[in-house]
This record gives sequence, structure tokens and C-alpha cells, in this order.
Amino acid sequence: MLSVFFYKNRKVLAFLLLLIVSFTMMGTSSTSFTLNLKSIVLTIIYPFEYVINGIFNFFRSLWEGLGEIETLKKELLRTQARLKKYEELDSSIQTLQRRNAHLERLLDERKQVRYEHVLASIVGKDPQNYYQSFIIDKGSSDGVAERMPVIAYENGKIGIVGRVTMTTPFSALVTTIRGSRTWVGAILEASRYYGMVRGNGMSAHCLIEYVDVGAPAKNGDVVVTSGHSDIYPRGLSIGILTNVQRDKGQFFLKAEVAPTINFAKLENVYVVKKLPSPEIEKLEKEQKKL
Amino acid sequence: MRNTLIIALLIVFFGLLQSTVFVDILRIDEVKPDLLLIVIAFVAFKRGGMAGQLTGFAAGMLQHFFSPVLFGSYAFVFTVVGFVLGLTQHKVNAENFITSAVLVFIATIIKGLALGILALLFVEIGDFYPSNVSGGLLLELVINPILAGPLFWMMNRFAAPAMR
Repeated sequence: MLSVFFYKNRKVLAFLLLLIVSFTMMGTSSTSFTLNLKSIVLTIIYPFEYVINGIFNFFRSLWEGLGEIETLKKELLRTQARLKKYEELDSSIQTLQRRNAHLERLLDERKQVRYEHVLASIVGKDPQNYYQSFIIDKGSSDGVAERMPVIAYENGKIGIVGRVTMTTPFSALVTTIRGSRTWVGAILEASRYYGMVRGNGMSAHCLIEYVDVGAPAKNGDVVVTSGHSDIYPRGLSIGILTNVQRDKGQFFLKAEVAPTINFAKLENVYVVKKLPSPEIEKLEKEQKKL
Repeated sequence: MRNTLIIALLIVFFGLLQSTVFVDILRIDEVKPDLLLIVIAFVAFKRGGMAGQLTGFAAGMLQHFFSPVLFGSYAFVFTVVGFVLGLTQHKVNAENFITSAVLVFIATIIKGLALGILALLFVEIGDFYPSNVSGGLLLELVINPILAGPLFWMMNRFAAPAMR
């Protein structure tokens, strides 16, 4: 009788079982088992991602090269009409100039990054559209370690991307500031009020919490790292305030932070070779035990 | 056994592809298509709810290796998608670009609703409304159905004959 019931309803029962398993995993997601398994899988899939990235970059260069050839052709025709001496202009000069400009830009960026760092390329991204993590092509063999801050350069500004949360010898997983469990000590640049920026899961904007309700904060105010978290160096741009709200009877104001870095367009990042001081790590571990 | 192997290969292939920068060429603004969602919709439509939900669960688990999102949340979301879309097996006779687009459109809505439910239950998932509905998910409702036709055609051509 019971077996007939189970057989007839096997689809729904399997569905319920899978949901229970999912919920159980959500409830126990912080176990070390999960992280170790992730590390193993990350090591296995890294070569695949590296190759795909290489193929993709090759085709992109090819595509960009084709576009450039077209532009050069037009330029050459115009030049031929005006001056005969440019007939044998080598198209590779343009490509080299472009490459040189790109390298100069990177060099300029690197000069402005005041900290000891490792330049890394992004080879893998969060499968969904939440940009909560990236896989980079530098790992422990390049000196990258867990908890190192990751920054990037955009529109003349250095902004924080996140921190390294897992390493393998040749790759590392970076959890961005959009990650739900990421907290960053922050300060409003103009008014010098402190707060904590945290990821807001699926939202493109982060949240800022624990900012005194009396702070003269307004939309557009710049939020930078306070240096209190001991992971991120002080004074790095996090983003700008949006949607500032003050509710009656609340000690803290509510606001969102639009990150400085556009995570969708990010290609290169800098891993800052800075680790939290051992004393603070020890205190944190002791606090966790309590 | 052969069916399971082919479905597993589809999940692994599209799952890995989804996490590479290759998918960025299909991106609109910040939003990239969800290739695995399309695979789940295909399997559920072809093989029914049981295969759909198991595929969804496996695909969700795979995504957790690339993402710090609350472990198990994607498994939950894609299991629901697979189960619900499995109900369409043998109920939709015509199979063309329009039906596949409609199926994937529905799958994207279910995914959004399931994420919304989880966002109400778990703070780690984050606030669901309104910023995401107005942004990412709305764009996904456009981009996923557009890609559904070509991907269904590809899977029908290469994977479906071996699944019979």
C-alpha cells in the first residue's frame, strides 16, 4: 500500500526531497567541507577556464584587428589621394601603437597603485548576473593569499573590488563587495561619519549601515574605506551614496552605495599584497570561539 | 544511463561556459544570458518533471562552485524551475522557436519568483525588490527567450537524438 503511494507520487516526493536537501545546505553553508570541495573543483576547472579565456581573447583580438584593418583601409585611401609617400604604410604600426597605448595605460595605472600588488586578469565570473565573485589567473604561487584586498582602476579612480577568499597554486577566487557576506569599514569622505558597507546579494548596489542619522549625508556623497577593517587600506573609493533615507525614531540612516567599479566590464584587477595583522586575526578567532 | 550521461554532459558544458568570460559577448548592459536555465527548460520539456528537477538540482549545485551565493540557493531555484517546466511535457505539441522562447520566458519568471521567496527567508540572498526586477531580471526576460530558439535547435540536433 505504502509502496504504491510512493511509486505513484515519486515525482512530487523527489521534488520535496531535493528542496529539503537545498534548504539543509543553505542552513549549513558555512561548513569547511563545502569550501574544501570548492577548492578541489576550482583547481580542476581552472585549466578549462584559462583555455576558454585564451580562445576568447584570441577571437576578440582577431575581431578588433578586422575592425582596425577596415579603418586603416579608409585612412590609406584618403592618404593616397593626398600624399603618395604614405602608400606603404604598415598597418601593424597602428596595432603596435594601440597596444603600446594600452600598455602605457596599464603602466600608468600601476604607478598610481601605491601598494605592493600583483596584476591579474579575470578568467571566470559568477554564473549568474550578481557579480559576487571572480576567478583570477594568479594564485598562491604568485604570492596571492586569502584575505588580500583586490582593487581596480576605473575612470581615473582606484576603487575596491573585494577580497581573495580562496586560492589554488595558479588561480584565486575573489569575493566582491557585492557579496552578501562582505562587510567593509567605510567613511563618508566629506562629513567624516563612519559606517559599514555590505553587499546586498542580488542588488547591483551595496548598503551602508550604522551611519548616524544626524550625519549630513546626501545622494552623491563619496564613500571611501575607513581602514578600520584591517583588510582594505584606508581611503580607497567604494562608491557614491544613493537613495538616502532617514526614518523617524531610528538611530541610523538607510542608504545604498553605487560601487565605483563597474563589475560587468572588469578585465584586470590588482591584488594588494597586504594581510591583516596577526594580532587582529588572533582576536577575531578568539571572538568566533566565544 | 545514456540519457543521464548526455544530460550531465550538457550541464557541465553549459555550466562551465556560463562561468567563462566567453558569455560576456552575449551580455546586454550588466546582464548575461542564463544558458543553464535554457538547458533545464529543454530537459524538463523533453524528459518531464523528474528529469527536469534532477537536472535543475545538479545545475544549481554546479553553479555554487563559482559563486559565493548562499550554498543550496541555486539548487533550490533550479529544482523548482525543472519541476514546474516538467509539467509541460506532452502538453505542448508544437516545438518551434516561439514555444521554446515562451518556455524559457516562463522559466525566467519562475527563477525570479523562487529567488524572491528565498530573499524573504534568507538575509544572505539580499533585497529582491525593486532594484533587481527593474534591472537584471527584466533584461534576462528578453535575452534568455531570444537565445532559447537557437539553443533548443542545437540540443535537438546534437543531444536529443542520442537521448531517445
